[in-house]
Amino acid sequence: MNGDRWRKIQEIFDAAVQLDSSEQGRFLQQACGGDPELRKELETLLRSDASGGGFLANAVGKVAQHLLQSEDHLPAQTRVGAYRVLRLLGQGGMGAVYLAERADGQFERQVAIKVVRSEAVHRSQLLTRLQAERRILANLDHPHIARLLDGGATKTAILTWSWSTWMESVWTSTAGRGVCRWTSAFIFSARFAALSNTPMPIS
Amino acid sequence: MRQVLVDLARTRSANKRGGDFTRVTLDEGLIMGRGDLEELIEIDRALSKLAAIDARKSEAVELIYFGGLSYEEAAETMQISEATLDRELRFAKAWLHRALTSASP
Repeated sequence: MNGDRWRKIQEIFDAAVQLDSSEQGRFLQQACGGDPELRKELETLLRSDASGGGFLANAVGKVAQHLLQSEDHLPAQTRVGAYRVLRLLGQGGMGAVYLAERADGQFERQVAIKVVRSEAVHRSQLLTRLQAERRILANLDHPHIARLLDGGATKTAILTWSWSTWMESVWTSTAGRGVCRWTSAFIFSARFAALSNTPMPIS
Repeated sequence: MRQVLVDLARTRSANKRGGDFTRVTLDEGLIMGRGDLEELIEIDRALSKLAAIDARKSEAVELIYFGGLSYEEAAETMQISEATLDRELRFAKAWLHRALTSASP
């Protein structure tokens, strides 16, 4: 379709939607002159316009809602590298954190596995984000601060860190252990929150 | 975002055709019928056709419906007035609706 005709269709459409349906017929008669194809084009568009635009929001909304549901949950017993998932600890818009344990029986260790939805962010942004998070974790070497054990990208990107530093352990640590640990733990969690929760444009 | 949703719809739609290995949940709220998936795929196709004729209209639909931007944000992104955006959207929706309901748009 050439540009002139397309513009003409748009112009007539814009004017016609301002009119009552009873007036549209006469208006189209005038505006389309002796061009029955143009008139038919406009009539079908106006019929579609009258049927409402809810179909778009509906269709997109249903699939988007489904995407946000727990489809990519890792069920208990799922193997992630050397670890086996025990249960979901929490989740947010960016992904979820699971409690897991060594699955190979080499030694007992519980870890937290953070799974970032690869669907939630653009892959390049996701990797930048994970690299920044790893740099921060690498700089914070402290028994009560998450230590990065392993990380990698699978179908979803995965980053793991030690369970002992999950927030629960911060809360159960005794007050006598000093301000320092609490502070650093919170620095960690604050920084982590800044990384995890910053709203980002979805491409 | 449009790509994400359409890819998801394609995958799920293919899975549903492929047999019964998809676990069925009894929560009605979570069930997405095959119709929903295919409608989105159809919308995506129609939107690509629209983009070939009039890229601005297709972009408006994408920002508002797939990107979830407000009218104000979308108008700013596209550097057009909200009134123009509104016009573009109304026409685009009518055009898409017709494309989806008729055999030859």
